[in-house]
Amino acid sequence: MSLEVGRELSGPAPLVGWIRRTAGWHRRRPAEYRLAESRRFDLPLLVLLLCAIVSIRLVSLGLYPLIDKSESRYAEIAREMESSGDLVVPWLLGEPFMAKPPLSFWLSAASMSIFGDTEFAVRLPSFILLLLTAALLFTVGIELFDVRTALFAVVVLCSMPLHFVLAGTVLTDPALGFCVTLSCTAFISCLDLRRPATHRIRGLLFFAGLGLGLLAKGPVAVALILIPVTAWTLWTRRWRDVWRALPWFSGPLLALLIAAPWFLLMERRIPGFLEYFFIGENIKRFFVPGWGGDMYGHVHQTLPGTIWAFWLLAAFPWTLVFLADLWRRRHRLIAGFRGSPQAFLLLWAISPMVLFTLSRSTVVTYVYPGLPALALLIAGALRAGPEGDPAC
Amino acid sequence: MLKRSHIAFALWFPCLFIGLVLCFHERIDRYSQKGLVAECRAWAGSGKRPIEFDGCLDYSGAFYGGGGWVEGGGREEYASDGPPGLPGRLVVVQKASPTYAGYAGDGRFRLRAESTEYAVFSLRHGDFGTPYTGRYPRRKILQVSALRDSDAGAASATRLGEQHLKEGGTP
Repeated sequence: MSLEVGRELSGPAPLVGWIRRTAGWHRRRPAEYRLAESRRFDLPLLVLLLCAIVSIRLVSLGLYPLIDKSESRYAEIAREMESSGDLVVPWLLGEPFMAKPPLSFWLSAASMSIFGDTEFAVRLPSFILLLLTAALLFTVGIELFDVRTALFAVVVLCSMPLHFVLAGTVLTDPALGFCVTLSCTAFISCLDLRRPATHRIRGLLFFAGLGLGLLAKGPVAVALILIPVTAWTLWTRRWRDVWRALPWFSGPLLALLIAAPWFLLMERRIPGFLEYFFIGENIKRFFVPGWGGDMYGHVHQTLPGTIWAFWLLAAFPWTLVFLADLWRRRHRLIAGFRGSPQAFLLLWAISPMVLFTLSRSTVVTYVYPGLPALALLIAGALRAGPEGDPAC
Repeated sequence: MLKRSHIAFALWFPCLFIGLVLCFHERIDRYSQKGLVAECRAWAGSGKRPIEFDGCLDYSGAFYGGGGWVEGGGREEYASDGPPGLPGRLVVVQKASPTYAGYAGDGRFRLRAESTEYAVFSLRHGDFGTPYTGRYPRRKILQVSALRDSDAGAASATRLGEQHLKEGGTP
């Protein structure tokens, strides 16, 4: 069976006929007829795939105990936040927890206050955040391509092993991934100069993502957002468009208004927090091999470049599809990408690896913020076909 | 072009994941408990925390100390069964004796050894709002941690326990 993405929707099909085609019975029919039918019915198949993947993850949220040490640690912090009502200082069994900002703790605590102290409740915010991430990808996919390509990108993203696991894991990475996606999709939308009326809101969303990212995981969010934006601006030399598209006064102010109050309140309650968090957790952890100042866990010692192996596994086998597509287009890769929105997607997709290639302290979840862009790149490539132009 | 292989790419991991969860639930449960032990030992060996951990895990049941919320007894007392309706407790016990134990009333144990190299292990376990399922009570560890200041940990346990009593809770 072959189905195409990137075609106009031609209407729904009877369920029985669709089941017959997905089961492969259509093979007995003439090729032209099969092709025509597949074009008509690929959208329901994509919807069904997406529903199946999302349903499996939703059902599995409460099926197994909190298993990872980090997951149990963050869940306990959220539980203590919910029971104590202290929304400023995350507490871990009597000690202030200074390693991560509170966004994911707030969300898990809120969920537990509604649904109770269950695994389902504490994991639900991660699930919702990654659904929202997929929704953002869908909207920008429609802008760049069409409904079917956007939906296919969402299916690719949701089926990536790391996305699937993180959608039910109590970690800070789902919130970080959502914030990076919010900023990057807003940036792509901002550069569509045909719609100046919506620029202000989208530009503010870009900075809102930055501010929320600071509350999700700290300065690494800013780095993951600014790396592709800066690289794309330099690559395409569209710095004037970028200057005009983003609200450079009100935007940073909004980001500060979102993030700064918590950091200041935390420093006031726990003196020394800012130094430990910004210098220790973010700079020394990154640059100092075997940094021994970690108060809450241990540094994950890895070889430089391990992040690329993590990337290969995190989205397997879609990463192979992507690499195969790059190889096919290798002779006209630079020319095809330059100046296109997909150039930004490519930079967004590889920004975590660029940031962490030299780091000796990495874990597989670090690659997640780039996976939404990778999903859209793959969907765009499959839409164009083997000989298509990557720059649509 | 969306091919049949792409559908397989999309479904292989979700299907594998749910299959593993359904088929190996008990092993996953045990793995999470092994993780607890590993974390205790890692912390004890790291030198970052004042911990001497050479303990064991005791799945036998809840502990109620003889002298109040904090005063505890010997290790054998941990072998008592928990009260009806409460899932089994997972207890980390130090070999150093005597130990103090505080049942915090919020489902956590706080234990410490009476020595200069003290340690307080705080456990969140068992009754994470989940009822008995299957053939045995699901024992889920939410967290094990160690407080640097054992007195603070014990005081915290006492405070929580007293609060629990004031709110009409049963020991």
